[in-house]
Amino acid sequence: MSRRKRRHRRAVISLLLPCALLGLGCEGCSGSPPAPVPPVKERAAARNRQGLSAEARGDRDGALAAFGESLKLHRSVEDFPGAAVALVNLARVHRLRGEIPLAKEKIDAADPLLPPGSPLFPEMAFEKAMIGLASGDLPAAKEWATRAVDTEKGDASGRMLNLLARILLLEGRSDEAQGRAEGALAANRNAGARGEEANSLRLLGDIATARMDRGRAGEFYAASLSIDKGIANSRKIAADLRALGVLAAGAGDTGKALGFYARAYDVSVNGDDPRGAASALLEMARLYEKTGAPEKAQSARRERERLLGGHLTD
Amino acid sequence: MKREKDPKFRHLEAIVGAFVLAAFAAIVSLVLFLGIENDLFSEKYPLRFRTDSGAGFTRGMPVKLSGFRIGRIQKISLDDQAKVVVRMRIDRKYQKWIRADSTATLLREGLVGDSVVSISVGSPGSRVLPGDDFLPFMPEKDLSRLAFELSDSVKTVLLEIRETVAYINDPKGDLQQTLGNVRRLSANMEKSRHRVDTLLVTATGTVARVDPVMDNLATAIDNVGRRLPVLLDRMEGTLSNTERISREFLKATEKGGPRIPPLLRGTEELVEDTDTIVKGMKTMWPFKKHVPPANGPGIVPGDSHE
Repeated sequence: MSRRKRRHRRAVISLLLPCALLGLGCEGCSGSPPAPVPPVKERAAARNRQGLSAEARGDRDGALAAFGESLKLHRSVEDFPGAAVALVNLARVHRLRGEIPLAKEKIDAADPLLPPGSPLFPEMAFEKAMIGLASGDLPAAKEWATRAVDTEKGDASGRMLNLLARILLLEGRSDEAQGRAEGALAANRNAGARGEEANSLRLLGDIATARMDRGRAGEFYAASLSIDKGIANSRKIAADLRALGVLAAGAGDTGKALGFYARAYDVSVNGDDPRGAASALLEMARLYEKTGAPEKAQSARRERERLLGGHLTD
Repeated sequence: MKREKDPKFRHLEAIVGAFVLAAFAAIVSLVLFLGIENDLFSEKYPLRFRTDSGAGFTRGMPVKLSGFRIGRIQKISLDDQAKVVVRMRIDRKYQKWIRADSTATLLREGLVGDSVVSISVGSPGSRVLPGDDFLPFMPEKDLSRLAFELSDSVKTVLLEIRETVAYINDPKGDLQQTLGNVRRLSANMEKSRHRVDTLLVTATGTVARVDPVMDNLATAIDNVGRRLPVLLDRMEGTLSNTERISREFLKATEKGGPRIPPLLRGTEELVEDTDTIVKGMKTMWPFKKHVPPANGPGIVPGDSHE
């Protein structure tokens, strides 16, 4: 390399280096500082965060207390969007605790605070549909699930579609349900929502089971199980195993069905889900009775009774 | 040969000399300043104290008197009895305050502050401690130690109460026997009353039959009279112990109680400060690029399968 070229290269480097350093400095200092948040709103947001953490670790009492405080703080400054967030959260936690009247009261209070154009409206509509479903009001559940699907334009659209498909299947409209579930599967894959993707697959498995297409149903359930194992969701894994058990029992393969139910029971017991475990035990008891093993059936029923603490629902 | 002279370098030697002098003066000032800051130029004298454990002491740890630093720990060593000898270097000008009744204590400054050795001011009547002399070391009781001592005292009372209850319940014990005697006495008195009735009715000279009963009565009363004071003494002892423990507990509460609110306040402020710092850092480059965005508007994650 000639001396002239070297000098030229050095000059270029000496020009580029300060430019790069200046660029890095500007990148670091760029951006205006965030707008200050009033202390009451900051406290309300902090309570909401505490509620989310409590719910994530399974402390539903703590979550309700924190969301309640957040709601009080938002209401003290007439912050309606904030209050709506707290109300939707309260409704969701109450529903998960099985307190449907309380959940309904909270979600009905959130409804007038959220116009349909609001970004939170689809979430509110989804929750309202879930509460309708939990209380057995299928028409209301369907109406709100449809509104949720129509208004959600983001990554949650697959979840909304899953719910609508689930309601349609319960209404016995499996063709429509399949269309929605397939749409949900595509949307969830596109959004990378693995849990909801597994829900779509399980739903498609249910639809195939309803149509007596056991081969397809088994494939869907296996795919769903694989995803649920990947995301390590105990309740969903147990649900997949129970669905596989139903499928095997329907095909007359009692041994295989018992195997799936035993696995589902084990997963539920270790995942602190007594209801899931009791459900698996009930199916096992029925299969044992069918196969002429009354002692085993009796033992499974006794264990189920112990798990549910006397509150039996067949 | 003609020597070229550039007018720009005319006073070069003088300028370089001035710079060298200025640099030298700056270095000397810095050394002096650091020396004064670290008390290098003040006269020192050694003092020592002995303690069971060297935990918490470090070389160079400040030694304070009434909150002012008066020296540092110079050396920590073990003596023949495996005791820890801590040697301090104290500024000579403070010697007049450190007297024979001064004590050394290991203290922590604030909630998360450094540990320091604190020396108490001696009383004017005591002699000034000469160099290399030993100060008594007073280990400060922490809350766990207080709780331990309290639990010891409570344990003693509980043991005494248990013994007393066992003594009261013991079927062969004085009290049970006394009660048995009183029961027998009552029964005897009932019988005696019947007999006295009979006697009165029949008016026979069976008064002598009352004598054994009266003897029993006298024995029982004698028993009660002898054993009751012992029992009362024991009860009194237990009560005085309970009173002592209550007083100690009150003292411990009075001592520890006022420290708890400032501690809690300090912790709260610390947590708030940390929260502020972490929040600030989250908005700074390069951290902000690695902080995941908040979960939308803060909604509990929904699931279509629930």
